[in-house]
Amino acid sequence: MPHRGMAEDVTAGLLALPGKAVKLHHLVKAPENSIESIRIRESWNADEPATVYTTPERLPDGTPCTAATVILRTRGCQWWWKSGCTFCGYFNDVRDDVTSLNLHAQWLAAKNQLNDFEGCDMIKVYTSGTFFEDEENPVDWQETVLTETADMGKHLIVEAQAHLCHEEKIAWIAEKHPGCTVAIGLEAYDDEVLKFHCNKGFRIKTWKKAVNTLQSHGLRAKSYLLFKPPFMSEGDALQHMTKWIRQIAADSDEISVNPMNIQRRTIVDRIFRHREYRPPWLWSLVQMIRNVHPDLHPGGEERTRLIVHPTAAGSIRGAHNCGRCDKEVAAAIERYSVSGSLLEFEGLSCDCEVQWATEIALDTSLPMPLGSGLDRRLDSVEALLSP
Amino acid sequence: MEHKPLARTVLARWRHARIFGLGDRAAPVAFTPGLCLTSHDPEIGVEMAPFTIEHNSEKLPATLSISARGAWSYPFGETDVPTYTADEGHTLPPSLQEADSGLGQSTGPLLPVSWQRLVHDATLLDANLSPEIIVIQDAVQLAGHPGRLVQTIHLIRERFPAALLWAPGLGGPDNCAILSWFGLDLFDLRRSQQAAAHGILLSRDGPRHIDSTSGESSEMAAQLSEWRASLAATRSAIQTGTIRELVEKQSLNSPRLVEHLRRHDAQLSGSAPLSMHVDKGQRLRCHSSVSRADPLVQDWIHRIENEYMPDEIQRQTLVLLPCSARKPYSASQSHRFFRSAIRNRRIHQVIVTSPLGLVPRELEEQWPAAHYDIPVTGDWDDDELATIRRMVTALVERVGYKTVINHSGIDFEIETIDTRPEGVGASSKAACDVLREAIESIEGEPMREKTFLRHAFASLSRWQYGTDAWMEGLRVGGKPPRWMLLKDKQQMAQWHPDSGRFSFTKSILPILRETGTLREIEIGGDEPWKGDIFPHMVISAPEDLKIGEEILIIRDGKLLGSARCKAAGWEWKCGAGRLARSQHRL
Repeated sequence: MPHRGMAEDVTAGLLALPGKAVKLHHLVKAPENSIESIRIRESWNADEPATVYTTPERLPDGTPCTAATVILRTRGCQWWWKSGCTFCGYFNDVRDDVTSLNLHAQWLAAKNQLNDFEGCDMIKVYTSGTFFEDEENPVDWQETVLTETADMGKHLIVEAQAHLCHEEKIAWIAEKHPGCTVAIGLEAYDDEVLKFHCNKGFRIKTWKKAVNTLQSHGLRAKSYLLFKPPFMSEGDALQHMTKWIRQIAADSDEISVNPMNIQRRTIVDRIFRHREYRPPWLWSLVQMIRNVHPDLHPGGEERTRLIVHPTAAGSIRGAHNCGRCDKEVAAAIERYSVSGSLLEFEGLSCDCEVQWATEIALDTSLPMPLGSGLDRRLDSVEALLSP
Repeated sequence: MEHKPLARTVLARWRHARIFGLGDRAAPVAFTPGLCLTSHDPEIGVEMAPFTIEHNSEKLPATLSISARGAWSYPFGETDVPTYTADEGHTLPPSLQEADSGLGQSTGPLLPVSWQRLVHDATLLDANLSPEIIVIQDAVQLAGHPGRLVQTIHLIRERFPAALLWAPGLGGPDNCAILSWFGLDLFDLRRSQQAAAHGILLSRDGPRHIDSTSGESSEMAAQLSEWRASLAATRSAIQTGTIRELVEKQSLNSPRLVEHLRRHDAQLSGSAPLSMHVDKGQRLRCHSSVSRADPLVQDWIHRIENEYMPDEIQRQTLVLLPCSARKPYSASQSHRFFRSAIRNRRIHQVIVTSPLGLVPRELEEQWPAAHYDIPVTGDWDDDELATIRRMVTALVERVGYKTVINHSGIDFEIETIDTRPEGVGASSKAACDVLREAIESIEGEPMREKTFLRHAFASLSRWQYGTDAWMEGLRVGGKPPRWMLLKDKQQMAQWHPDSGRFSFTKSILPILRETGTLREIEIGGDEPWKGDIFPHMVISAPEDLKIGEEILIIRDGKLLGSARCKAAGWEWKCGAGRLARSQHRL
């Protein structure tokens, strides 16, 4: 019998390592309780929102406007409490003792900061989770935001997990703020990718049902897709994102592609630090837009709006190119999100484009599931030294 | 589903590096180490690039197909082209080794493996698993984790000796010899394609800027000529047994390669598949200090330091002598002088050298003592001195010599009689006179040459086989240099100084078995044993058989004869091609 006890303490493979095998899910959760994480979480004032800012945007009818974004400090995402997505670092901004009073105070602070949203026709209220999930955010506070923004005549955008878009709750939202937009982090239109790469917690069937529920109550459905989830090569990311956008265009009023950026203490952060992952090339985003633009504009008319805001673009933790052309390429992508015109990319070029194209070709022709990419900011000779 | 096996045979080998001939064994047309080509790659001849691959990731997880570029499956008809497919599955990067969330890789003739699969997937433990080609999917990532790349290659190489090993994305003209040394067989053009895209030439010496003054280019054609030259050099070095030297040179091409080689040397120290005997003319060029870490050198040092015992007639007096450029030392002029000064056969002569440390006189014809070559400046470095001093101390303590005569010119902490006057060479008349004087001061009864040789051969037998029991009742006869061991007037064995080995006659095989001198391998079947030893015949064999080692062939407990190993022990478990050449049949 003593052998049994020992056998339980090593992994099952040819190369048995000490310790028990765990699921990826356990690694996602691991950093949450690190001393550093707790210190950061508990250092902030629960009466002040995380961030408040304004950006140029377009209203659902296409009219240019200014949008206010309010990111609140909340109790976080229910899925995070249970498991968590591989790439999401929002847990860094949440704590479990946020009350309705705190949230009301944060909302008031945001309004004060932006002069009651004067000049902003659109308001994005982000809660690092599902806005209308009652355990995450108190119902009375949800109602405050919905009714106040409706009364002010602002277009509201909130976020939700697909499996939390229950019929009754959506009906209630539609009653309190008719016609608002609910953005769902779909990330990938592929169940394999949702499960393995993202650990997302729902499947595309659930997302479809959620979109139907939203649209049947006259709400707008915005879909987030994640460009280059972890454990995926650049070439696969481009190939699949192109396909996914085409597949979900008909069901989405807007598609927002989020190129991966490395958020602290996430799984992606861990593999990034081991050089097993690199955020996407900006060139991939340009190519993706070029690939799908005709599909989103059948007959030249915009059917679904495509938004790409590369967070931390040009930095090593965000989508980036060689370092010389990043600013220009990122700006063109940003402009496209507002203008919807491919002319934004006219004349854009850099020496690194051929390196990017080579990487895409290698990723899609060699069995290197974690990608063939090199460090884009090292001296060429150094980057090409034998691994 | 039945698959078409890839016909292959090992044409040459040196430790874990091998040249496989693919297709009909009588006339192979393609070889490894070689390249796998994708549809993006330029056309390259089949003699350099034996396989094409197709990776399809339109649906995730992706699938992989590898096709031979010829009809290399028996019976070699037009349609006998081996093609293997696999599900690549999902794999987590090596840094997430605790998690077993990935997997889904298929198990079959084409076997994708990753660090994660090695750690978590029990299907690879199946003893019947015998893949044709293995793909290490995360090799490039593994190379960034200290030690894991060589650990992975070593594990897979020895677990699946007959499989061709490919680590996608890793190889280049700057590292293909070292990766072959570790045991990889197949490479691809990923790094050369990337170099071309950067306007850099991935040369045999690593990536570098092109030289515009000589009209160089970084186009794929130029990248390919580097590959051709490097693969050819690698294959040539495997054939001539000089790949270690090429590996030591190539390791300097990147800091990672130096790390990998150091780790590989450390990992194989004590378990490397070494040769017992080598062909005549084989050299071991130890031109850099990296050679000292070669498991072959370390094995010698370890055995002399910890195991070696001289014959009982030579345990009273030790004389330490300097080495000579010529090998075996006895063939050099300086050692002729030393020998003429040392007329007492009871004095144990041990040669002081680098990188082997110490070489006892009776072992001077052994591999690699008779074959090594080092650059000589006349100065020892601290590391060499430390090794020699450590070994001398260990040997003197273990043997218990009463007197140590030191003609080596090195200072030792133990008490010695120094015979090297200041300012003269070791083989000068002045020095040799001092040496002779010291030797003559040692008492000892004279011993006849053949009596002495009987003791020397016993010592050699103990070094090679761990026993000399088979020599019981035998005497030395015949003429130098091919002395014979005789029982009465019948020859039982002959000494071959060129190869440093005994060759045994048929009649002594039963005694070699009774005395446990030669190791045994068991073969199956009931047909009369004909020809050589091939993998399918073997039921059991020691795991650490050495190339050149003579073995006894046993079936159902009965001694059938003897053979000489062509492959080391790691290849005996489901390897490819001839494992041993038959020597005697009873």
